[in-house]
Amino acid sequence: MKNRDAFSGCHPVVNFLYFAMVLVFAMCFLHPVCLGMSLVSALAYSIYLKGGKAVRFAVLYMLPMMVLAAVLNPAFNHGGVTILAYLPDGNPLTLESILYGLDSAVLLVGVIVWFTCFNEVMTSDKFVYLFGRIIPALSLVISMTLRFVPRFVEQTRTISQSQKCIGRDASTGSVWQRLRNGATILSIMVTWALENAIESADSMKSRGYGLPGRTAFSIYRIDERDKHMLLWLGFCGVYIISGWITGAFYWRFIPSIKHVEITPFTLSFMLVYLLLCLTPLILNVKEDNTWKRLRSGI
Amino acid sequence: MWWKKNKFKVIVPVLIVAVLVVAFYFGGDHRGSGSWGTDTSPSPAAGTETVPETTASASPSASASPAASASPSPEKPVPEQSSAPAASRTPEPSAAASSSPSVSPSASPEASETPEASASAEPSASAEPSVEPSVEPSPSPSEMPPVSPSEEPEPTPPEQEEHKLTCTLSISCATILDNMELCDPDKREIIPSDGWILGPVTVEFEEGESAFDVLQRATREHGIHFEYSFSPFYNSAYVEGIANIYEFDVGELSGWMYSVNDWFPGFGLSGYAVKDGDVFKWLYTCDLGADIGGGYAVG
Repeated sequence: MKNRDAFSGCHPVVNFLYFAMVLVFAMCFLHPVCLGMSLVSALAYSIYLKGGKAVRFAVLYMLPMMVLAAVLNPAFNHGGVTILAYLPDGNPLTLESILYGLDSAVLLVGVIVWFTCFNEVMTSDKFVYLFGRIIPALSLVISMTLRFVPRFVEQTRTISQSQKCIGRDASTGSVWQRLRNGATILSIMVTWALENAIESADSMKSRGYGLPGRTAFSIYRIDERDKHMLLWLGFCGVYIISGWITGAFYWRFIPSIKHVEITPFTLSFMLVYLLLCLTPLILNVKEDNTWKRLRSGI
Repeated sequence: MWWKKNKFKVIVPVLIVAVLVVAFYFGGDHRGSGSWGTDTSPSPAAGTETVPETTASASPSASASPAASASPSPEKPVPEQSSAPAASRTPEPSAAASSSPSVSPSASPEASETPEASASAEPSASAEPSVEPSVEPSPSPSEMPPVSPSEEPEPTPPEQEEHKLTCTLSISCATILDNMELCDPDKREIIPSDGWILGPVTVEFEEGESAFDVLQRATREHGIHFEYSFSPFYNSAYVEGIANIYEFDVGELSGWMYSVNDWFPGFGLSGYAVKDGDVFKWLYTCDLGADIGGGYAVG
């Protein structure tokens, strides 16, 4: 996987720290403004990273998921002081539960989109580089698992295409025929996956993977930019967590909506959070502009 | 060498014990949790024993009332509905008379005890006890003499048509006022300062309706939030929260309970067929019923 954007080119520690912070904050802050900022910047970054695929993913999967989450919450959560109507089972439908559902839908989608960015940036070599020393066996298992999915998909495509050559693909024939062909492909895939797992496990074991003393080659080093990034992330982390503790992100839905008043002080926390969410984009845009300027100067 | 080899045999048990200790000390929000402290020990005793916790004056009558009224009403709510609904003033005695004459003496202490019980249950409300006794005890003593003849149901049916069936219902969370420190901080502001969510109101009902129907109608009419869930195992609704005060909001022993004529039924509210003149009290308990005199119903 190539590091197309500047943020991916940063040291793995920077990448991991950034995503750890952003994900924790995205999961813990219920304030709608925070969630909106988090979702918008996550979407923007994923579109920057993956282009049209990210848009397709968002519209095809994330939008229905959001609607589902927003509808399901008032069906199961009946708390709240503003009763709008009564559901068929006799429990109240409240304004607070509807808003809470919308809010948590945004939260859910935001976290998922952040994770797609995480997968794009934190490649398995970075992950093993970071955790290979501390938890060798676990980081090996994680990187193998992460690698397994794309390999499986790739192999499925190969198998189904070669089956197509002999007219046994799941795309032709009657429904029964298709089912049978699909089951054949699935069975081939399961066999392949088991065999492959055993083979690669043996192979890796014989090469000393998972042992504590094993070293790994890497060309990551912390340069000036990474130091600045670490300082910036540290500042954001301390500032936002102190705001969190003092309740600057407080927002409550049940039983009644109550939130922290908006003062310049609380707004400053929001601003820092927004800047933190936009950090990779800002860095990328800055470096893109530098590159353009350099190229036009040639 | 030994340490290197058996490191995990030591570390893992120590970790497990540490986690258990932490869970034990910080696990519960029940008052006095963290140990089997001095103030928790009496309440379980009260829960099994029913009475010692409640005030001395109420205790004999409280122990008598479940024995008296428990036997007739859960077993045959239907016959009572059909025969006894009768005049609005005779629910208790007729039920007692139809089951056995020997019960009737125990019904009278029950009636006389109601003011005390209601006073002990809702100490903060000064105005309400005056309302409830006027509903209950006044009719029953007047009906006591006619109860003794067993053919009492016969004369009543004519009155039944012109009389609408009514019962009284009140919802109170006065016990929270004494346990504010246990209360969920988010819920503190919605707790009424006098503990009354719904003062005693008269609710009309149709024959064959259960306590659940009455509660749902009353809360809807008065715009009070009410959430329930249905538990098939007990074949009854379960009250999760009224007026946004939910179970477990005030400590882990808290929740809603109901009493009918100052008796706490030990079964779900859908299983109680309402009789004319019943007095329902919906009470929030912070101590499994012991603080509202209903510990025996929890078992």
